[in-house]
Amino acid sequence: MAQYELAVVGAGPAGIAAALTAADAGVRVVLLDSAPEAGGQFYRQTARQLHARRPQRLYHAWPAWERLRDRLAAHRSSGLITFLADRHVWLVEPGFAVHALIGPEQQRSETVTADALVLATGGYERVLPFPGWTLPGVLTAGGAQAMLKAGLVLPGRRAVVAGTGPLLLPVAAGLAAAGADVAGLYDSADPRAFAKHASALIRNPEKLVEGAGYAAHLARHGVRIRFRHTIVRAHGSERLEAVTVARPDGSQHRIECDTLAVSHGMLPHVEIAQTLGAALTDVGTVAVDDEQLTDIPRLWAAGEATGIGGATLSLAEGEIAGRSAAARLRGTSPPPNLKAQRTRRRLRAFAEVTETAYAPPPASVWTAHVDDETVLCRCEEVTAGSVREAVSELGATDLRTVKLLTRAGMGWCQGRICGPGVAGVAGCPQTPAHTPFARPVPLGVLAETISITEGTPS
Amino acid sequence: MRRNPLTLVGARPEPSFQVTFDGAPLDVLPGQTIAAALWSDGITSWRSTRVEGRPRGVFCGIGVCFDCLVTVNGVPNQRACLVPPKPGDEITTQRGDGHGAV
Repeated sequence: MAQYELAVVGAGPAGIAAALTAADAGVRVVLLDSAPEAGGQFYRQTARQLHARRPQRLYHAWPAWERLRDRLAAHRSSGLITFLADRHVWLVEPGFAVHALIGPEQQRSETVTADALVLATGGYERVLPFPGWTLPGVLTAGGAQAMLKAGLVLPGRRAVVAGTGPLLLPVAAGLAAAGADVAGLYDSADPRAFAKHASALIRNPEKLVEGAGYAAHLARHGVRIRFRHTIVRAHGSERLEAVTVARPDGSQHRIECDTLAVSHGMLPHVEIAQTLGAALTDVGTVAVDDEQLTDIPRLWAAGEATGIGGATLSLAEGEIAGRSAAARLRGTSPPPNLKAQRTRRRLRAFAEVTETAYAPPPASVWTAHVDDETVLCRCEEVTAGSVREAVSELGATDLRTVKLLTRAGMGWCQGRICGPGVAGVAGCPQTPAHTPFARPVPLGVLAETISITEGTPS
Repeated sequence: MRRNPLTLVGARPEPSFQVTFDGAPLDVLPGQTIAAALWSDGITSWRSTRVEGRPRGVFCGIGVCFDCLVTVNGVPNQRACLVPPKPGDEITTQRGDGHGAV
């Protein structure tokens, strides 16, 4: 079992920054990620064998990535950073033993141990349900982007991008640049909400320039951006044929398309932190102090897992976590890093504004479009009607009871996808589900791991 | 020529290889996942659900949702968005839980 000083789970911007900063201070680091290459979702890499000569056309802030990539390569050659790709971490035991399934097949598990741990597990998308959202051709905005960046493919020819959040702009811009006919971008947010927070916006001019850049790009492709428009239905029998969007005045219009890229913001991956007993905030992110340290000794968290805020904020948080981990491992206090701390303060203020302005519509609004036939739990095929019955006929008042009565949230994804939808329709608060493992594990792997951990004393 | 993702980034893919999907030949570019190869051929669905027999394909695209499950060489429940195919693989639509006739 390989032993390291620091393990970093997740090789997106936060995890890479933490690993690089710690390695700069001489710490021996193991960096694990589920993808075949480092980069995370923001810098998800095009498959090597496709030999993209101009990969920067698909990315924002490519030069920053080149610097990270080169520093990572240098630390890997010097042996300070060991990068383990294709590792799906499913359990971390206190102390820390990191268990990861290997490769896309995920039939074998491997364990590394480390004195300290940084969780940079990122986030995934929230999609609020609507009739037709299970049709092939409907997919998450981030999923469309990931498939485009990694495999250089499009899901169809004519796409609508809808939902809410800052992710919709780059996704629509990427699809249009790659040759898709983008029939429109429909965001339920009200741009007037931004005006109320002018000071946080003015202190983050690069964010405004970034947004304006995407908007200009979309304008060049003739793509219209419509705010205060809500996706209410996807049409089709065997696959997506059209969507219906509601205008601010409540009237509806139908748009023919074969692709809908939809997202209602991001949710943090917190399962590993939860299993280790780390405290969460009241909005369900991993709670951290000024050094990105959790309330568990030698456990840090950085990036989207500690609050959705984008790649630049993740880089600053990762750097702060890496610097703190390096110092604490040597029994000292981290030297101040004023630049990273300033960046973190400024971008967290900006993230609060975007979280408010791009808040998903209230449940009372979107559940009105969800008819009883709409499937909420995609894995177990549980309809809104069944969930409503569990509440009104059977008296369920919390998500756990709804799950036990209907099976909503019991499937492969362990409720990650349907959680917000089921909670909204049931009228229950969405509580983070306590899952013992961060992802489904073959029983053989489980038996083997337990025999290692509980076997002969070493 | 209509712009596409490969021309956008100036890709020079390695020579393609063949697999089959539901018995029909399918060309795959090395490095692409099963889902990417199927999308390239205009196919967006490769599973029918256990209860209602409804078609499904990619939803999250990053391995979280398990909607894109597919059967490869008789082994069901492979996530098409993660798994790269190998030359000669027999990829088939997953019906129900993929174990036997529905």
